[in-house]
Amino acid sequence: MTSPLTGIPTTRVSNLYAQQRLLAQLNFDQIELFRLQTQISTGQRLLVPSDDPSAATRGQALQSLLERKDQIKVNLDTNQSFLSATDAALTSVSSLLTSSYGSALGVVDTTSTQAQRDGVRAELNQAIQQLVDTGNQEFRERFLFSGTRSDAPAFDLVNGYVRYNGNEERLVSFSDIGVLFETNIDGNAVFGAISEPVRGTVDLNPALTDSTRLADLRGGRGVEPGSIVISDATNTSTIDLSGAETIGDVAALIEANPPSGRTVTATVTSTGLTISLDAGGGGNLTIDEVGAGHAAEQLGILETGGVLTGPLVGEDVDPRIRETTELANLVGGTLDQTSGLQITNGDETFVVDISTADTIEDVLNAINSAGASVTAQINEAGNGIDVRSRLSGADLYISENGGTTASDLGIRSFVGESDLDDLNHGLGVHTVTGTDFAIRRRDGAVLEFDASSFDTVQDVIDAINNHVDNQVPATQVTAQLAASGGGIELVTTDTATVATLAVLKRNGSEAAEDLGLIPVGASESDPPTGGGSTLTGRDVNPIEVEGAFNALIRLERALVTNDLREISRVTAQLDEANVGVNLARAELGARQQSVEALQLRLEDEKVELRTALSTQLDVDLAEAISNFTARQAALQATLQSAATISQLTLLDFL
Amino acid sequence: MSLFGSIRMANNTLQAQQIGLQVVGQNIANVNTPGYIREEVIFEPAPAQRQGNIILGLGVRVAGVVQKIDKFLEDRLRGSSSDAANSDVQQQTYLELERLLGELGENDLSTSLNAFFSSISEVLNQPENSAIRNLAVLQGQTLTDDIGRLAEQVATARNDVNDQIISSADDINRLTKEIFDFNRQIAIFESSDISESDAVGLRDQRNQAIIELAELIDIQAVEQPSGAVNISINGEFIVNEVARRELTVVETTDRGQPVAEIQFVETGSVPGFTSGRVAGLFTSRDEVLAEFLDELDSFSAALAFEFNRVHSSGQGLLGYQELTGEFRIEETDEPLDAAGLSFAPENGSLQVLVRNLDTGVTETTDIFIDLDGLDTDTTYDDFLAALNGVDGLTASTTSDARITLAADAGLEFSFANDTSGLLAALGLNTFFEGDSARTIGIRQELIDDARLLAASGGGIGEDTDNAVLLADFANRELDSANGSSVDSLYRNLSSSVTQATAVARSIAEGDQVFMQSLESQRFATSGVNLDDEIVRMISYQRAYQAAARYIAEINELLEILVSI
Repeated sequence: MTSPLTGIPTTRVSNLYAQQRLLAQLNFDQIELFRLQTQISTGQRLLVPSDDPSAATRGQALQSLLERKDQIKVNLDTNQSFLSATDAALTSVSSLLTSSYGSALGVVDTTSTQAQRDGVRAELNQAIQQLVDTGNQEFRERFLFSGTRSDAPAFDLVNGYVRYNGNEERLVSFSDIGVLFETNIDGNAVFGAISEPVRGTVDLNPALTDSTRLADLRGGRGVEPGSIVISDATNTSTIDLSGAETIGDVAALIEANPPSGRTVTATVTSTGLTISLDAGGGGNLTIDEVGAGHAAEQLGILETGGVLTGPLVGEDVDPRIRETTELANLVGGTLDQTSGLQITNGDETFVVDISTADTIEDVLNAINSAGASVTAQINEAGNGIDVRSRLSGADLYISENGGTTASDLGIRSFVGESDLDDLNHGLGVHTVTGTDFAIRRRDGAVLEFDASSFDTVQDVIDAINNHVDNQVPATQVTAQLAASGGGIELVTTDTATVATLAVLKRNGSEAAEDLGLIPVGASESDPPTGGGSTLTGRDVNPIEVEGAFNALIRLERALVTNDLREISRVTAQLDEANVGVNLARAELGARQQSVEALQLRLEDEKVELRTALSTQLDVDLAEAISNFTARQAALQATLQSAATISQLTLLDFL
Repeated sequence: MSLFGSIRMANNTLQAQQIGLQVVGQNIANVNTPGYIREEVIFEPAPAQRQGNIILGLGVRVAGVVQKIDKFLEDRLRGSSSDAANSDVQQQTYLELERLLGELGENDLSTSLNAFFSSISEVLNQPENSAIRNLAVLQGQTLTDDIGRLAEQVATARNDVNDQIISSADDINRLTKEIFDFNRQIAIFESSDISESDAVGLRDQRNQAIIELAELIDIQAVEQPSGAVNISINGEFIVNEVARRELTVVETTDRGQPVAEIQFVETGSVPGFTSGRVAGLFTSRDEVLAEFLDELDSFSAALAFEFNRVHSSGQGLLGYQELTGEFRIEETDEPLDAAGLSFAPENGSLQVLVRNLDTGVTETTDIFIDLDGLDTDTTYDDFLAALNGVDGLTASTTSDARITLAADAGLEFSFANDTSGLLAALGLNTFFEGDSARTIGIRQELIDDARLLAASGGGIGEDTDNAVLLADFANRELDSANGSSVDSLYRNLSSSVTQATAVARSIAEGDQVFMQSLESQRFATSGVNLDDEIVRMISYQRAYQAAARYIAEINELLEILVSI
C-alpha cells in the first residue's frame, strides 16, 4: 500500500502541495479502510498471494495437502466397504467347513453304513457348491476373491473338480501419501486354490549374453548405477556406467575408456566379464569403486590387488531368467526340445510340445495354454520355472514324453531324488520286517527286496540294478524312470518265456503298491507290455492343491470306497483349511481395524491442517476490526485538521 | 537632476511596482495549476549618474521576470519519475500474472493437478469399473485445458503489452516534436529580449512535455545557452536545437507472437531504454511474461513426457490393433537421440507384447535401444526393422513422417518396461500429447476408449501396478528435472511469481515514495504560496502608493516653481 510517509519540506510550503498531500492522505485512508472491510467480510487476510509471499507459499502447500488428504479419505472409505463385504462373505464359510468336518468324523470309522456315507456325501457336494458360490461373490462389480483379475469369477466347477481362475496378486490403494495398503484377499489365501510348485532340483543357469540387462543380474537384484575406476598402475580412467542398460554396454564402455595410452579388452562370457590389458604395455590392472559406490563389486570385477595385464576373470553375476531368455542359453544348451512332456491333471493327460519354442515364454505359454489347469511361471529365485496346479481335488503329474524335456526343465514330478516319505500325498511307503516285494524275471529268477532301507526312488532303482543276482546282461532286469508317463519302469531284453516279468508282493507288505509297481489291492503287477519286456509302474508322486475345496472333494470321493486312510488324511486337511479360512478372516479383521484407525487419524490430521491453513490465510477478526476503527479515527482526524488548516489565509486579516 | 527627472524616476517606480503586481497576479492565477513554476520579479537599482561630485541613483529597474526553479532538482525528479513509471508497469504486469495464476483460489492449476491424480487413485480403488477410467481421462482433459487456457491468457497479456509499446512510440514522437517546437520558439523569444527574462509560459509548457517524456523514457535534458533543451537517451540525442530524430516500430515474431521493436528511423539502431514506462513495458513483455511462458512450457513438457514415460510402459484392459505415433521423425538414419525429436530417448530397452485374442497367449519381444554413443547407435530405421521382426506386427512410416504399427488379424499388441523413453519420445502408448503449454492435450485413442488407460504393469488386464506409479506420480523424482517432482516444479513456478510480485510491489512503492519526496521539495521551491504572494502584493501596493505620493509632492514643487 502506498503510504504517504514522505518527508515534509523544511523551507516553504505551497498551496498546491498542501492540497495534494491532503488528497493523498484521504486516498490512502479510504483505500486502507476498503481493504480492511474486504478482509473482514471475506474472512481472508491475503487478498492476493503477494500480500504475504511466505504465508501464501505455506498456504498453497497446505491447501494442496488437504486436497490430497480428501482423496485419501475416499480411498479409505471405498476400500473399507470392500473389506467389510469380503468379511461378510466369509462369515458362513467357517461354519460350513466345521459342520462338514463334524459330519465326516461321524462316518470315519468302520461301523458306518453306505447309506450314512451317502448322506454325508450329499452334504459335502452341497458344501462344495456353496463354497464355489461364496468364492465367486461380487460386490460393486468386483469379484472379491479373484486377486487382481477382479473382473472375472474366481472359481468354476470342471468335471467335479474346482478350478481357480484368479491370481495371487493383491489390489492396493493409497492409505496416505506414498503409502500403500492391500484392499483385497485372493482366493488362494482364503481357500487354498493353487498348489505348491512341482519341486525341481535343476538350476537352469541361464548364460550371460551381451544383451542381458543389468537389472537382471545378481538373481534380479540388479546393479546400482555408478562409476568404476580402472587403472594400469600408471594412469587411471573413471568410467561412468549409469547410462548402461546391458552387460554388453558395460563391456563397450570399458573398452572405450581405457587408461590413457592403453588398450583394454572386455568380453562377456557366459558367467561374467573378463577384462585384460594389452600385454605389451605391462603394468598392473586394477579396478576399484568410486566413492561409496558398489558398481565394481556387483559386476564381479572388483580387483584392488591387481592381476598384472590380466585376464581379470569376473565373478559369476548370476543372471535371472526372463520371459525372453532364449532356451539355447539354458543348461549349457542341452535342453531336449524335441520330445515334449506330459501333464496329467484331474484324469486328463495333455502333451505339451515345445519343439518350436525359442524362449522361456514360449515354454510357459505352451504349458499354460495346454488346457491342463496349471499355472507355469518363472520361479522366485529366477533360476527355474514353477508349475503349479489350479485344479482342486485333482492329482497333477508331470512326466516325460519319451525324452528328457521335463527333467531338463526341472519340472518332472517323479524323479530319482523324490523322497519315499513324500510319495502318495505324504503317506509314504509302508514296509514290513523282512522282504517287501520280489521281482520275477523272464528267465524265472526271482529277486527279493527289503524296502526298509530305501530313502529315495533312486535307492530303489539302484537296489534293483545292483542286485547281486541281476548282473548278467542277457537276463537282467533294468530299473529306470519311465520314458513316457508313469513312475518306475522295469525293462528287460531277455526273450525267454519261462515266466512273465512281474513284481510280487511279499509278507503282506504294501511297499510295492506304494511304489506304484503293483496295483492297489493286488498281489501281483499287471501284465507287462512291449511283448513282455516292459513293466511300467504308476507315478505315485502327485501334486495336490491343499485347501478347502481339495479336502471336500477328496473326502466325498473317499467316502464312495470307504478308503479309511484317505478319509483320515483329508479330514486333517479339512481342519487345516478351516484354520486357514479363520486366519484369512483374522487378517481381514486386522486390516479393517487399521483402516478404521487410519480414518480416525486422517480426520484429526485434516483438522490440524485446516487450522494451520487458517492461521496462514485467514484474518484475525479482532485485529482487523480494531485496525478498521483506528483507521476510521485517523480519517476523521485528517478531515478535521484539513478543514482547519485550509481556512487559514492572510486574506481574512486584511 | 531636475524635478522632471525625479518625476520620471517616480514614474519608473510606478511601472516597476505595476510589473511586480502583474507577476503576483500571474502567480495567484496559477496557484492551482499543476507543474506551474512560480515567477519572481528581479528589481535592480537603475545605473547611477554623476552630477558634479555626487553620484545619484536613478531609481529602480526591472531586471527581468524569472522562474523559480531548481534545475538540479528537476533532473532528479525526471529520473525518479522514469523509475517510478518503470516499476509501476512491472508491478501491474506481475499483479496481472498473479491474478491469472489464481493460487489460493479454487480454480487454480494445483487443484486441477491434484484432481487429476486423485482420479487415477480412483482407478486403483475400482480397477474393474471402466467408467472410472473414463473419468480419469476426462479429468486429464480438464487439466490440459486449464494449462492451455493459462498460457493463452498470459499470451494475450503479452500482446496487450506489445500494443502499448507500439502506441508509446507514437507518444514519444509527438512529445519530441512538441519539445523541438518549443525549443525554437523559446530560443527566438529569449534571444530577442535584452532582459534576462525567461520565456515564461513557453518554458512551462516545454517543461510539461519534458516531464511527460521522462515518464515514458529515461532521458537526460541539458539546457543550452540559447535556451533550447537538448534531450538525449543513453548518449544518443533525440532532440536538439536544430534537429529531432523520430522513432519507428518494427515488428517481428517471438515465441509465436508479434513483438515490436522501437528503432530510430534513419539509422535503424535501437535506443537502449533503461528506465521509464517503455522500459518497463519491454521488461514485462520480454522478461516477465516471456520467461513465465517459457517456464510454463517446460513444466508442461516435463509433465507430459515423464508421465508418458510411465504410462507407455504399462498396458490397459485391452491392447492396440493399430497405433500411430504422435511426433514426426525427420532423420531416419541418425541415432534416435539426435534425430530431432522434442524429447530425447536414452540408452535402454523396451518390450513389445503381442497377444492372441482367441487363446489369450502373449509373446514378448525385447528391443534394445542402443544410444551409448559407442559403435552403432540405434536409428529409426533400425527400430522399424526390429518392430517388423516381431511376429504378427507390421511397422511403417506415414506420409507425414510418423511411425505407425498394425497387428495381424486376431492379435493385439502393447508395450512394457521401456527404460529408454523412446515410446514417450515417439508418442506411442502415451497419455498426454503435445510438448508445450499450448499444445498439451490427451491422446485421442484414450478419449475414444478409456480402457486403454495403462493401469497394468504385468500384461493386458493383469494388475494395477502401473496405476500405482501413475497415481503417485506427483511426488516422483524426475531425472530430467534434476530430481525435482512435478509437484515441486509447479510449486516453484507459482511461488516465484508470488515472490517476484511482492518484490515488484515494494520496489514500485519505494520508487513512488522517493518521487513524491522529490516532488514535495519541488513544490517547496516552485510552488505558489498565497500568503507569500499577498505579502508581496501589499508591499508593491505600498510602494506604488508611496511613489504616487512622491509624484504628488514633486508636482506641488513644480506648481510653486511654475507660479513664480
